[in-house]
Amino acid sequence: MAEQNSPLEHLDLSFRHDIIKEALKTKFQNPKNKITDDTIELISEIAKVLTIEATVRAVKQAKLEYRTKVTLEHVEAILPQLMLDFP
Amino acid sequence: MSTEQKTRQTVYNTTKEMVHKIALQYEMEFDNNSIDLISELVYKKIQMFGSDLDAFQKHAKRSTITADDVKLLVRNNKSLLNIVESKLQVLNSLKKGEESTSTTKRKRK
Repeated sequence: MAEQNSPLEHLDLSFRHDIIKEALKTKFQNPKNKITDDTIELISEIAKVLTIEATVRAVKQAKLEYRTKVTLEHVEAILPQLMLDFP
Repeated sequence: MSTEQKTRQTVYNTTKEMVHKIALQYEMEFDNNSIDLISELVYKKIQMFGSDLDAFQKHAKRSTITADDVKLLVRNNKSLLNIVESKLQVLNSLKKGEESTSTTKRKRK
């Protein structure tokens, strides 16, 4: 994870909080349940880490095959481990 | 477009932007299909977090999702747990800072 931490600090983008809230609420049984601001902040961070991990792992997979373009197969190859690593 | 579709589209766009930025760092190109796959994955995972967190707060007999629920969600991934905890510390220290400044303001009055 140490190597992936650098893009985490480097990346100044983040998911919009209102959007994260809406996305979380799509699966709620009771849409009136509340979410604290801390939770939104944390989920936004986790989503960011997930994006970075998926991207960096796909890049590594492509580099193993000496390619300069990441294709669907590379992402598919890293999916199983990614799905196990993230809740 | 319904709200859900708008939400999905916004998540897609943000993910796309992030992937492009990271790809630039690593001097790699991404084709559109792979970006779509990553975006779909991120959106679906956020939805899954939503249903898990909903179940957690229900089990704890609360009606508000708190940071503790998020900690429970990421318990299996140690490094993710570390990230969450350090982020939480930063958030808490920020809050304390605000509180102390607000109390000093009150004192001044």
